[in-house]
Amino acid sequence: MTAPSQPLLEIAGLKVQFGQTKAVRGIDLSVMPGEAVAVLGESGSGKSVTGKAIMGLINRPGRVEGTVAFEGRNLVGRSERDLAAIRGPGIAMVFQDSLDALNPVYSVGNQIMEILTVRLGWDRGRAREEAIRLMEQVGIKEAETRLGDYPHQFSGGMRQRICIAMAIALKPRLLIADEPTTALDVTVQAGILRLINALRQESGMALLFVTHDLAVARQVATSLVVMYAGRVVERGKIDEIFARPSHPYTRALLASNPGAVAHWSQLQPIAGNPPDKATKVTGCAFAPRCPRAEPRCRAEAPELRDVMPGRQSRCHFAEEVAHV
Amino acid sequence: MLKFLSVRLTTSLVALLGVMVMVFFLARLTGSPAALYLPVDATDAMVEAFNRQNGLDQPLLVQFTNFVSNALRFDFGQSIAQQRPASVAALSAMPQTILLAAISMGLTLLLAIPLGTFAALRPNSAIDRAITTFSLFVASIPDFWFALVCVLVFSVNLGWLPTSGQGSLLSWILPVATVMLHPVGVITQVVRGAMLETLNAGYVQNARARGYSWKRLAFRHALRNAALPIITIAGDRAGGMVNGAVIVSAVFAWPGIGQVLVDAVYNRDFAVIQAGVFVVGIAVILLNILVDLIYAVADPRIRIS
Repeated sequence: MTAPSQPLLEIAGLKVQFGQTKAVRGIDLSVMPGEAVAVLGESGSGKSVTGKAIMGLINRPGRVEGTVAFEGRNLVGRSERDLAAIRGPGIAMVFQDSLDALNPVYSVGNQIMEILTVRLGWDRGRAREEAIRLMEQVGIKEAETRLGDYPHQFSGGMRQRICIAMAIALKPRLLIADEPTTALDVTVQAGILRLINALRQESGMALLFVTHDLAVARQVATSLVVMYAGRVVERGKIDEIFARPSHPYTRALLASNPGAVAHWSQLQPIAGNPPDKATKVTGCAFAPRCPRAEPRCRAEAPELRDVMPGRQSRCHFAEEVAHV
Repeated sequence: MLKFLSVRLTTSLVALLGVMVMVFFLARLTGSPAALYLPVDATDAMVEAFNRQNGLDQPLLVQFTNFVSNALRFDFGQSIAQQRPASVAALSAMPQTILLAAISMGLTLLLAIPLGTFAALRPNSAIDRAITTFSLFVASIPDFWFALVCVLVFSVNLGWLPTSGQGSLLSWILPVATVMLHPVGVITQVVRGAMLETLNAGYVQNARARGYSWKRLAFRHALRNAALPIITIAGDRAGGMVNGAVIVSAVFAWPGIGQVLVDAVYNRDFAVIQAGVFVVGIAVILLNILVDLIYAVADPRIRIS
């Protein structure tokens, strides 16, 4: 077992670049064993690319720099063979689009059993039993009869449950969930979030939950990492960040989230757009959209720094923002 | 599925009927058989007797209704040139034709699927460029030219292979290579294009995130999804192969249906032309139904709808 003080996953200076497009501009992030961390950001903030980069799923011509240490071993630049051994029992992933995530020409039972026969060398009979158990575990009724059904015969929520069953089949120590509920109805969404929480409590696996939705993040995670323009801008305990955001972007996100304000008339959209990914950012990347930006913000890039116990922020005026 | 097949069969038979009507009248545009079979100084009485004997003395429309009513009983009349039933003349060439088509298509797929897959696995790499260049090259070579050059090099100059006919196993090599030439190039390109798409699909990336080998990703997860366009083009090309492979009969004197049809046209042997086209038409219809069945096997979304 890993000592509790040592992170399960530790990312340092991670950069992902596609040609001139800088999707991730250098992020640091760590996940302790059993911890649930949410990565929050609007579309284009680099949060999904981060998830794929951890798994080594960035294809050429994409370029990955920095380190992704899983259980103390760096994964960046490792061979496909080494990575394949870690994918599944080490790190597993659930994607946003559950229809596209399942192979349309094989039955779901076939696809769940494939993991067990290929990765664990089980015979088909034993794999079948376990596939039924997994489907029941993720809340699919009449699992035994539905084993032979194809992905298009399931609803979106059910497909996502099957994706989760496949992800937990090898009992991963870290589950990366990339917007797993974004494509689903709100009622179905709640069920999936409850399922993820229940599975985490049973197995003690760590969770890295990528989302653009603060309310969703709060339901599954204890720690929060806020990303903006390919960088981490704020990091800390999620409830504390909700109570007292220390970065203007986080504050703006809270004010623009229907789940976080008392009345719809208090909703405040964030004016403007994130910076172009091909251009070099001087100063603070959020400054052009920031209501309290000062000349210093446009000239000098802020560092991610400790602003209070257990909290880091990338803002020159973090303390003032937090104490408004 | 059964309903689909019966609809498919009905529309195919209507198309076949149209083809038969055209063939009946077009064949008669080649001229009178009497001019070919009787001596130049034949008397009018001799011509009349010849026409009466072969049923060519009656008005065209009467000939046509006779043809249709007989054809419905699978009676296609006598061959003038061969002195045997036209249906026998046509059918006896089909085993050679189908065997050549089956072997050629089998080898084509064995070659084109791995080539297209390897090209798609590394797009724009040296391997991809080599395979793409090769496939475009073989798809663009005129096949009659290829056949003649092969005969010149391997049969005439080197003396390794027979020039024509069908005897030993060696006599199959050049006809098979000629028939495969264009399909290999075209199907490799189709496989590459379809695999490029499915290799980048979410389910293949997801399968990769489960730690599978590239072989499993390519051949189990991506290829099966790329199957539909590959089956379509392979079925189309197989139709062309059954359709006579006239080049092969012309260059190698291959005793297939192509040879039978070409000879029948030269001999103004109307009955054999009609029987041959009918047999090929039936073969193509059966092939299309086979392709539909393979679709259903390959893709559950077609099977369960």
